[in-house]
Amino acid sequence: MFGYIVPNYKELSKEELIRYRTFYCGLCSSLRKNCGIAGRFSLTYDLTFLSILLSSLYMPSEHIAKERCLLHPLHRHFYIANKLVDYAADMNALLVYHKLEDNILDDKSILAVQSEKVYRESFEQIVSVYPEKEKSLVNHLDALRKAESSDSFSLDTASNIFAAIMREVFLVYPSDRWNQDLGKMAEALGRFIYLLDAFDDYKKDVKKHRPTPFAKEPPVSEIKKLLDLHISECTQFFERLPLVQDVGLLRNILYSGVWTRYEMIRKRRNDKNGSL
Amino acid sequence: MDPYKVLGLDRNATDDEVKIAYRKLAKQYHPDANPGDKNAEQKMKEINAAYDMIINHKETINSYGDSYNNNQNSGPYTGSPFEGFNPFSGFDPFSQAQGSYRTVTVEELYQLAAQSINLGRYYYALTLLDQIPNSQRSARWYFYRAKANQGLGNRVATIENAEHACRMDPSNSEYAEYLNEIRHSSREYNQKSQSYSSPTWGLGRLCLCCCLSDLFFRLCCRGFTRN
Repeated sequence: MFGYIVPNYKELSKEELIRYRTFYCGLCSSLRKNCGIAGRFSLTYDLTFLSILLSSLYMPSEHIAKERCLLHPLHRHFYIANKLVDYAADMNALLVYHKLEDNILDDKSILAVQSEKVYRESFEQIVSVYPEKEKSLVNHLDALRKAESSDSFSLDTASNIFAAIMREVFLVYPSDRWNQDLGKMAEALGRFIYLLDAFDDYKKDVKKHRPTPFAKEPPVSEIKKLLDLHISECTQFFERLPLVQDVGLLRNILYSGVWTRYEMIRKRRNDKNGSL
Repeated sequence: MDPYKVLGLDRNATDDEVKIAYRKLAKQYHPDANPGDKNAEQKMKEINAAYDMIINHKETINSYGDSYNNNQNSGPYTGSPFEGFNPFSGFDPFSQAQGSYRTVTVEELYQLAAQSINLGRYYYALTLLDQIPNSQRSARWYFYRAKANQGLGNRVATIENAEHACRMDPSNSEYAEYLNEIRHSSREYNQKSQSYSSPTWGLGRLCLCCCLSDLFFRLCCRGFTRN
């Protein structure tokens, strides 16, 4: 699920690349503060996108500095600190924790169990800050599990639940004037991610007898059409928001970068089938 | 109110110009920057209203319903939507009780489904359509299914049923227009998307952090919950 909402690096200007990295490092820095060293290893690109989006929408007061870090002892990198980067880091931690829980439940992966122990304390602290959000997340995740293990696993039903999860993650303030558009944008992006993830994992799921929403291997063209539907709905709502700061970077991600994984899968299938 | 005037813009300002103007004015008149200033508060309301007017005048976005969050129609057979008014004089197509004194025709089912959709009772519409035998499932059946699914927010089912309706009845302009509307935003999106070159995987690794993150995820985590 993680790592689909990335930039098209080739198309970023030098300033945009630095800016993206500034947020990425900012998220990393915030995770380290809240979750310790281990927190850094759960850094996700998707939440970097969220931190840029929310910072652009709410324009919080920010602090940009340069620092060295454990993984970059030689050069100092710019990093940004603001309350929305912190929020994205908190959401990152919540999502990663739940994912680990899921993996423990399902296959008792030792690594998952050990990681869970490391995360538990920070997780509990974050939950105390967002009790309502955590409650909603748990409910949605339960509903998603039920939908996926049902005999009639419907892509629509499951992706709508995942959409609700994204909505929960994206909406920071309870009654903000941008919540309607931001929420719909989040939901559409959630459907995009869910579909792409299901498509990406189809062969593995079949091999390991895991539930999949597809009755048979879906044709690439069908998936493309559905992905188009979701991402175009996302950008329709995105463009209604008054975003100026970093809008070039955000558009790079939503109009191009999000297709990175899809292109990789498509190329892999074409190479295998020897046809377009 | 002339929203362009409020934002200090020309009538042919682009969306991005509207956003820049909005930001500039919002920064100036925001209540946080002007605590207790009633004039600033009023001005901020006007600025917000002007922005909404311009942005909402843009083409209407395909509206899908939201059955998951709204909990509406929690399932089939959730009561007839026609309480108090029944166009087919006192029968319930699902009633197995004695006293249902006539069977419903396929045409009546189609009409009831259409009316249910208009009343926003989408699950009911789907269960009505399910009563229609396979042999009688025309393009109209798929068209109504598409509309009912749209009301429930089932995008995949909406487009699949809409396409099926058009394939079965290619000369029907209503179905063609409907499918066109559904695909409209995708077309607009693809126009903008094409101005970027195709993204490739593997370039631009930011730092060791992300390589380690990837490794962490591969070892610990698969797709979020599809287990």
